[in-house]
Amino acid sequence: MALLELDRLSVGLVTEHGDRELVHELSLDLAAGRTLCVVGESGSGKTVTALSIIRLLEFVAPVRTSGQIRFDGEDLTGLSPDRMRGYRGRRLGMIFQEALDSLNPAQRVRRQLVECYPRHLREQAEAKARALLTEVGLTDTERVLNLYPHQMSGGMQQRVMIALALMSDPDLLIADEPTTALDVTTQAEILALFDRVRRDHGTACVFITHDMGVAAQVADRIAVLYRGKLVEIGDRDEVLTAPSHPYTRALLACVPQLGVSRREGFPTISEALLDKGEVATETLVLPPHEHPVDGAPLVVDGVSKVYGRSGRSLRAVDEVSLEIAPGEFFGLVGESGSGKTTLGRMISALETPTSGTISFGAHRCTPKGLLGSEREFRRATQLIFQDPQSSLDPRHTAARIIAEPLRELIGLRGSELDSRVTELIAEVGLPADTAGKLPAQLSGGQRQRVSIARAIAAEPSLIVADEPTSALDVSVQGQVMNLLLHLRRTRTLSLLFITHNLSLVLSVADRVGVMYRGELVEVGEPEQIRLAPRHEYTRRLLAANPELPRLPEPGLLNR
Amino acid sequence: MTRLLLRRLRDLLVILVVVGTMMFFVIRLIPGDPALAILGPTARPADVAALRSAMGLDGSLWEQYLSWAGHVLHGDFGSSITYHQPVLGVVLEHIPPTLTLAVLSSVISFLLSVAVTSWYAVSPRNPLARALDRLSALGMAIPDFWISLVLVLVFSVTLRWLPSSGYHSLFTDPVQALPALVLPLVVLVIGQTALFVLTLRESMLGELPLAYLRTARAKGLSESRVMLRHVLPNALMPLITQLGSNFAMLVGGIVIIESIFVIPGLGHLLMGAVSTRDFPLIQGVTLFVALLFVLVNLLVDLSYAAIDPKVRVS
Repeated sequence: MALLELDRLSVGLVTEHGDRELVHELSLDLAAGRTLCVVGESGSGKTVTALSIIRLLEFVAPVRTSGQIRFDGEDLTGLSPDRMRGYRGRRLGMIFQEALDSLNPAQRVRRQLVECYPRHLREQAEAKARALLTEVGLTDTERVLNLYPHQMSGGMQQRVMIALALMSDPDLLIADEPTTALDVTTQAEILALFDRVRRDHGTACVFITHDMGVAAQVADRIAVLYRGKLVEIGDRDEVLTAPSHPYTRALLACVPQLGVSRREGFPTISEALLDKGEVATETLVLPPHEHPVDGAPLVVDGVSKVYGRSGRSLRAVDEVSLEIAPGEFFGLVGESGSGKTTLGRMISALETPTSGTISFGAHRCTPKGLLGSEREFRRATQLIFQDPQSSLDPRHTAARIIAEPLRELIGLRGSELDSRVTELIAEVGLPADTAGKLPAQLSGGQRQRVSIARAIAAEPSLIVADEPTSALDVSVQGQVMNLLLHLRRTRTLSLLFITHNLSLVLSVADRVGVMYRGELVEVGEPEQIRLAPRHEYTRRLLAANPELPRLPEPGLLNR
Repeated sequence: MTRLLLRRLRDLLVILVVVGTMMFFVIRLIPGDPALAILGPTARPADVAALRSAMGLDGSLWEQYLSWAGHVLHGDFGSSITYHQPVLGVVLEHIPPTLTLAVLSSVISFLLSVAVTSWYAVSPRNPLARALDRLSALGMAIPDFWISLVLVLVFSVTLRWLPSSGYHSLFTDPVQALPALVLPLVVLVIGQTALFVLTLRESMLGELPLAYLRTARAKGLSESRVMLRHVLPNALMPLITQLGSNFAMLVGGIVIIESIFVIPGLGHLLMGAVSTRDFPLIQGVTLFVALLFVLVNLLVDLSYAAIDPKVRVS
């Protein structure tokens, strides 16, 4: 018998205007000891499904559930809150995405681990905590038990979280994007650890992820959700290599892969085609290069950035030199703490280097600051940030956001300004009525288009884009990348593209630089980096990169 | 920690200099001549002039200020005009009643507000808990002089259970002191508890959507344990800030309560000093209140370090 069975589970959010359905008649099952990956993009209902199984959603939102969730034969939806509590933490364990946020910031690890045990079993609980911490690779148990969450690295926090979920030997683990916030090398470690621990304990697992590469590594079976509905479920290899549903095929085609060039554009998912039940990927045709590529290169010469004073200083960027040619797409890849963002901020003169100079045409960034007119520099260099949610003023309309650089840097006013804003909104592929909307009224992809429109408004010759797609779904990521590729062909524009996503950057950039602990350890063309990496760290990154089994080319999918 | 203390010590000096200087000039804007106030309208101009000179009120404003500042630096705050005693002694004499009221009412209000809020958080459906929680808005809205008068009317005038005024030291004469303290304390506690409940509830609401509570529930903890062990302790921070600034306000500002219940505290002293144009005394009291204000806030900062592990580390 299956350990977990969802039988026509529907979850609706109760609002003033009636219920809004988040999950629609979802049926699936999971045998004891097996792993089911639930894959989907944002809004697919995958997290809602996970939280509904353990019934945590009802604490934060008014929800109505219909259908059954049978766990070991018992329907969880019908249990009283008290009886449900008996399942949580005892038979059902949960691991969350943001380990730091998911641990109490003001309590030590010890207290959080042993908390679910009754008081008279505290000694037993502590022995168990030590055993589990050792098992998840934190062998220095005494020290770890006394730490607060913020004193640990992201990887350590997630290990503690896994230990926490295993404290009461649950039969079923629910993991909601447990590695999404981690670096690829840490992600690879945690996934391997997770798989080992899960097998040793014989625990079944519902693993929620948006990343097909991750699903390929951990799943026995894969379920694909789209807009709250199950579109496909099957064994891992079947779903990954011979997907039956057009959406699954489209989703797989959108994932950037090593060795697949996307310089002529990314495939994206067409909802219109999908609704007709047809092949759902579209590939846009990029215009030919219209602009002669000229102008000055960006030259970074021996730049370092040191934070803190001597004694406890941190070399965030260490003697980095590189050159970006006019019109070049330069990808800078590295993990958190590698100094890639700091380098980007120095190139865009948001930070001054501790030593070295950055020159771009007539502009110089030196340890003394930016030489010359800042206004001229800002016209030439613009930024796109990672999180369009927090980098746009929530109280400004899209039109006002896009108009600001036009007014401040170029001095446009009146009808000229308005018509330029309208043009820009059309150029980044947004509907005309976007102009009057606030960031909160736009989707993630639309917000990032607004950021891009704002960045190109002053017609810069260099854009520093810091993780512009990492907060977006893969299909939306494709759209935003296509926009950047398109803009590069219609304007004279160099791009410094900062990312942690190796597959993505290798598939589009002209050249790629790899940063590690403040140093630029390797620069080369994508093929050279992929096939003949020179630095040990690059090899580690490539090895940790989650990959899909070889798929038919997107062209072949368009049968 | 040492750096924090040194920085605060520097701030303290700056604040005292600014407050002292401002008060010195501001009170001289009040119309009325202290010498004339003492000697009465029939005094001869010569006597008035002599007294002014004896009080350090002759010469230009600058000369007065420099001579006053010089004395203060030597620990001499001058003599009170009305009490005919050194200012320092007068101020110290009036501190105990104010401090008694401030400390007692703060502690009681803190405990009460935590109790009410926790009760409501654990059993939100209990009608009494909900009523107490909702009453806090009312407690904020009613002016304390009105509550004072109603309480005096009911418990002192009509029922004759409690004295309507007076003060005895809690340490030397507790039997007499306690009944007289009840009414002023109740008035102060009502206002403060209301404020604290609102602060704490706001802060707890801010904690509720945070992800670590989801983890706590995923462990299978009961709602009351989630509230008492996770939400409440982490929500206390803003209340401690509130407690500190409120305490400092109390010390300088229980004027109304002290006047109504005839309690010889700092507020009472300051009121009298202002109406008699007792310049040295006004300056002494304000300097002392400023000092207390800064010290209490330092205490609050230090308690952060004790409570919040993040502050402790950095």
